[in-house]
Amino acid sequence: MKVSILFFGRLIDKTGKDKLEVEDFSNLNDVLNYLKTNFPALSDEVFKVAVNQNFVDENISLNSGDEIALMPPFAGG
Amino acid sequence: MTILSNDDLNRYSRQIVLNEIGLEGQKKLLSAKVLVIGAGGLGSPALLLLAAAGVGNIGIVDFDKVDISNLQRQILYDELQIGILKAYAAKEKLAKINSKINIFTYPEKLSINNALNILSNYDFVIDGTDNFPTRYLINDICVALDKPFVMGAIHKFEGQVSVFNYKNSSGNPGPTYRCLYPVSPKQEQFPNCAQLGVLGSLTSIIGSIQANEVIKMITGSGNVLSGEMLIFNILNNSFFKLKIKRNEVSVKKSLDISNNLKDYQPNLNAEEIKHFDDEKYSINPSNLYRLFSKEKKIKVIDICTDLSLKTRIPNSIKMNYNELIAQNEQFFSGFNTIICCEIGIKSSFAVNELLKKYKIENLFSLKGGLLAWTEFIKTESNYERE
Repeated sequence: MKVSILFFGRLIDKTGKDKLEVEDFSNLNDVLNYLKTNFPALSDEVFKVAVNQNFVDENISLNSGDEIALMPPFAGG
Repeated sequence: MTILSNDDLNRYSRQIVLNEIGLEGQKKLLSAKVLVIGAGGLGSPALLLLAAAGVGNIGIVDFDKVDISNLQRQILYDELQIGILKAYAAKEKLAKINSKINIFTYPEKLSINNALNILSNYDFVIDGTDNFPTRYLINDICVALDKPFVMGAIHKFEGQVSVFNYKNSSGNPGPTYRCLYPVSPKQEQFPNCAQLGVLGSLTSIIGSIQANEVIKMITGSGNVLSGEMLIFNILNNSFFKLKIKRNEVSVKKSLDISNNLKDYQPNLNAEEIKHFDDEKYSINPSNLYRLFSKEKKIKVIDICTDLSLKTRIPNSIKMNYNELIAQNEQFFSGFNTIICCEIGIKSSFAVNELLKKYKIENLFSLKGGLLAWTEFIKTESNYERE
């Protein structure tokens, strides 16, 4: 089961990626923990998580093909 | 009622011909009041488009001066304006594009001391700022005053836009910025445009979308970008729309202005906010009502600028915030002075400001403002009838 992860804004700078695919995660928290372990710089970052284009606050179960977006606030103007 | 001259009909003919705008929409634009906070990369295109479209009353807040490094993206300005305050330079330019509209300038930094006064004069707000403290201030004041604001922000080649605190035609309120990001991030973690770099094409796209959302709200056309955030990447032309839910806890947090002061001014010292919302210097509507029945020497100062509030306190003296602050000490002596405004925030600031200048006894801010007073009077008259 594959899910894709999209990085935005500063998180692209911090992870060096704008997209990533991961396998065999059944829920959102596990994916986020995996990301924080593999990209320690993410632990200090402020961002909100969207699954399939809906921002979510709680842990949810994932299905194959789900798209997870990590969206930090932008500050430039 | 706005009447369009032949010149106006000719000038705006290309948009009047659109069914979604029409003559009615043009009249609405001409009587609309829009405030643009930050006249930089985002504010420049937004201001140009609003003025050109005939938005009749435009306010510009910016404390900065035009710098040569701005000209690459801040398309409102030119070389001859370098060194001039942006608010004035912007007005000069906009007046050349449309001399028929009213342009108001605020060449100052938006702060908790002036925000209510400035924002209360407008119906729509464009957030073109480049920092979180000002954005959280705009958000909270817009929630308090019940006004929608269009947030725009950029990072390198990506931009975000969303309309916050917008009530749709059935009166349902949309999310606020705090529903998405409840707590203000630390500004020092975020490098600015000078460090990160920025292209004028991106700020112009995002600022144009912001102006477009305001035009849609004024004319009631299309779907407003409320409850979702648009993210545009100009390197790969990808558009994302992410759905945001309203969160009542975050909305309540927005209204807790006295506890959010650090969000707006992270370096604020205790002295500056000493009397803000202080129990000793505030009075609730029922206590004021009781005071009226037994005490004669009461002076009520009404600094409310929201004319839609019909219930005013009898015999109150109307003046604006600045006039009140400019009063001499004698004005306050020998009376219980009650200051009231829309919701009790501006009046708290006035009390705080006055107590810094004078040693005044018996000075109070009406808690909850005229909104709370209106509610109280309603229940009080029901009670009396029974």
